[in-house]
Order: sequence, then C-alpha cells, then structure tokens
Amino acid sequence: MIKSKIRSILSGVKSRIFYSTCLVITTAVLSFMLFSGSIIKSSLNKGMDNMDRRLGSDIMLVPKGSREEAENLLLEGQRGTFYFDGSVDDKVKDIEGISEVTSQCFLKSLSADCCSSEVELVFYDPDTDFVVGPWIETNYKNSLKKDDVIVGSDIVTENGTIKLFGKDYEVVSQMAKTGTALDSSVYFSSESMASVIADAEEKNSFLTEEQKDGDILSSVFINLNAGYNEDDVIRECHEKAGDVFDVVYPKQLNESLSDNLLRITDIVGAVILIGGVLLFGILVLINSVIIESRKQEVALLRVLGNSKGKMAAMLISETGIVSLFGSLVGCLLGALIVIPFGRYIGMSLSMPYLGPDFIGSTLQIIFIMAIVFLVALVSSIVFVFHVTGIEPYLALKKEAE
Amino acid sequence: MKNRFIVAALFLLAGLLVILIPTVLFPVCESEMKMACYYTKQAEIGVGAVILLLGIVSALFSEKRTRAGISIAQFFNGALVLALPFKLTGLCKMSDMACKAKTQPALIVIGVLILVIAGVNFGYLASTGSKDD
Repeated sequence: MIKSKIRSILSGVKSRIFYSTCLVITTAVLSFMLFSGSIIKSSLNKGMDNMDRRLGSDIMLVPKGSREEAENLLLEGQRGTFYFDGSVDDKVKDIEGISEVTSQCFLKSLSADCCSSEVELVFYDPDTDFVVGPWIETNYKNSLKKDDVIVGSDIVTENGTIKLFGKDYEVVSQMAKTGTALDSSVYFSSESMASVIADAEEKNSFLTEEQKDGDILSSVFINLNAGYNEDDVIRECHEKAGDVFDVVYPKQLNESLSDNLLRITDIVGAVILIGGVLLFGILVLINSVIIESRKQEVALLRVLGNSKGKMAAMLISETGIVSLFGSLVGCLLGALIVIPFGRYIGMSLSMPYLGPDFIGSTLQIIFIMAIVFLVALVSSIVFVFHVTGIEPYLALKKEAE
Repeated sequence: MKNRFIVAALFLLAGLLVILIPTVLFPVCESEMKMACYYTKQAEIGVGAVILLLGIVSALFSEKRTRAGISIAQFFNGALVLALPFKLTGLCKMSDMACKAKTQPALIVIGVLILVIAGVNFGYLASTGSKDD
C-alpha cells in the first residue's frame, strides 16, 4: 500500500520533471545557504568562546617590538620567536597587586623535513601555570617530568611518544582542540629547555644566539588582584624590569574581536534573510505553476471518488518529497564545501574558527531539512486548498471550453 | 546520447580540476625542499590526467557496458584522489600550511564529486538496460 503510494507520488514528480527540477534546485540553494551560513556562524561563535577561555590572563608582557606577533599568538595561535631576558618573571612577581605570574618560551622545531615534523615547542612552568592547564583534555595532575610532553590536538603520536631532534619523548596528555595553530604545539616543562636546545644543536638545526643562550622567555602572563589598576602595576613592572617589554591586553583584544564577529554574523544573517525571502518567492511561483496546472487532473480524480483531503495530501506529499530531496542535496553540498574549508575560512577572516563535529553537523542537516520542508509546504498550501476546493464540474467544464 | 556527452564533459572537467587544484587554484606549499605535499601534487596530476583521458574515451563509446566500466574506473580514480592526501603520499602536518588549509579541502570536494558522478552514472547505465546509444 505504502509502496504503491510512493510509486504514484514519484510518477507524478517524474511527469513534471522540469518544474520538479526547478523545485529541487530552489530548495537545494536555500538549504545550502542556510546550512553554510549557520555552520560558519556557529563555528565562529565556538572559536570565540574558546578564545575567551584561552586568553587566560589580565595582562601579558612580551619583548619590546613584538606586540603584533604576540597578538597573532593570541588570535591564531601562531607563535613567533621573540625573546627577552629569562629573569623578567622573577623581577615582577612580587609587585603588589599581582596575584599570579607564569612564563612561557617558544621555539620552532627546525628539523630537516619541515612539514612532516615541524611543530612549535612551548616551554612552560607547570608549578605556576594557569594558561596551559585549562586546555589539557585528560586528567593529568602530576607535574610534567623532564622527558614528558603534552601535545596539541593535531599532533599525531606514535605509541604514545613523539620524536623531536632525534629523541623520543613520552606524551602524557593531549590538549583539547582550539581551532588554531596551538593544536600543532608540543609543551615541555621549562626544565627540559636546556636539553632540547642541546639536542637541536646536535642535529644542526638553525638556532639563533639568543636561543642557544637558553636563559630566555617569550612572554609573561600576569593576573591581577581585584581592585588594582592595570596601569599602576605596569608602571611598577617597568621600574623593576626596565623598558624591555611591551604590554598586550588579551581582554581588549577579545572585545575588538567580538565586534568583528558581530559584524560578520550580521552580514551572514542579512545574506540569509534576503536570499531566503527571494527563494521563498521563487518557491511560491513554482508551486503556483505546478499545482494550478493540475486542476483538471485533481477534478477528474475527485469525480472518480477521491476526497478533497486525499487530493490535498497527494499534492502536499509530492511537494514535500521533492523539497526534502532538494534540501538534502543542498545540505550535503554545503557540508562538503564548508566543513573541509573551515580552517581556510577562519584564516581568511582572521578569526578563531572551530568547526562542528559529526553529530552537530548531522543534527544541523536534520534541522535545516525540517525548516525547508515547512517553508516548501507553506509556499504551496494556498494553491493546494485552492485547487482541491474547486468544484470538479467547473474545473472539467473549463477544460472542455 | 545526451548522457554520454554530459558525463564525458563532467569527467573531463573533473580531471582538469584535479590537475589544476594542487598546481594553480589551491597550490601546495612552496618550498625548495620536496615535502610530502609536493609528491601528492605530482601524483594528483597523474590521476587527474587519467580521469580526463577516460572522460574523452567514454564519449567515444556508445556501448553502455563499456561506459559503465569506465564509470567504475573513474569511481576508483575518485577514491585515489582522496586517498593520496590522506593516506598514500600525505600532506604537511601543520593545519595552517597551504596544502592542509586549501589544497586538501579542494581535493576532498572534487574527489567526492567524482565518486558521486561515477556512482550515479553507473547506476543509471545499469538500470536503463543494455540498449546502446
């Protein structure tokens, strides 16, 4: 019974192949637009939320002249090789108003086959850290030992180890995904720095004199006690450590990014709205042509004993099946393009971008298909009631005339 | 007749894109060193050329069985387009490298489209009987 009904609906669709194709294309474009727009929007929002968590300090001291590089580090996770004296954190830690201080040093892995093994190395102090910790996915409570590392989510490990400068290191934990270059970083304890640099020198990796020296830092992260003024603390830092650093304000950076995000999502929303209204108009037009052209067929079927309700159900089923198919095609095409290109979209917009997972994408496809199905039904319902409401006698008489 | 030339044109275009994606449209990383993505580019040029030539060949044959066979071959070529960056030759490991951020997604799109075109065409040819056109 159901099989024969589906067969009769499909033969109805086939007999109006041109209009059915137009309906498929329109619903596919609408779904593509809705799916792509919503995925880009939610991925940008997710990236932004992640960044909120990543900007784990009130102020950040970086070597003089490297503010821009440091801001890139916060936004896209791309680390530079900028350094100042290794004692800066010690000099500022006792300043009144500072509650927490931790430091990091960055080093790029410069091994011969750049791409297959280049990673960014980060040396941090696990005892004072409050920046890396929140990103560790698995429960790793122990202090990081000398030959242990924590790796970013994109790093592929072999049997729980990673080889750097010819030496194997045990991977004790993996970070959660951030959607930035942080995902390809390897985190060492600061006490490993001297031996890693020695290994790098032994393997003839290019190292600057500063890097060879070893007593260097790339950034100092500072959290302030409530009620203390940032400017006062920074002035004090300058007095104690000298004029060797620039200051980055992660939270201000975050606010300006939030404004950008708002502008981007507004544009995406406007495009979806305008395109959606336009496509709804096209859907109404197509449905009016398809359904109005079937007046006589419906009248004839009604003369043969079919009820109004049955006829309405038949017309709605045909529109529904065609629009569902079109919607599925549009969503899959959207997924095929937007999901793999996610990283590129984020890089082009200079925004943190964290793409959806499989379950999230599937739910989004189902949601969009349901919306497009409803839109297609709404766009056809007036014509369905009009055609099924005409007296069969009048419709057939019109055909005879 | 229509199916024969439309599908041949689609394969030809797809083959051309497989060649152009890693070389011109979304080029792999530029480096004096030959990295993994360099070899993937070379291999994709070869696979793209085969897809393109099979597209031309499929336009020359009216026998449905032959064209169905070519579709099967193109299906596996599509799988090869995908397997090269993911498994066989690979790409750079850092996610912000050009080959990873641009070339790989573009190859995923064209590879999946080749699989779909070849699969649908094979299904169509198999379901429309053995009458040639």
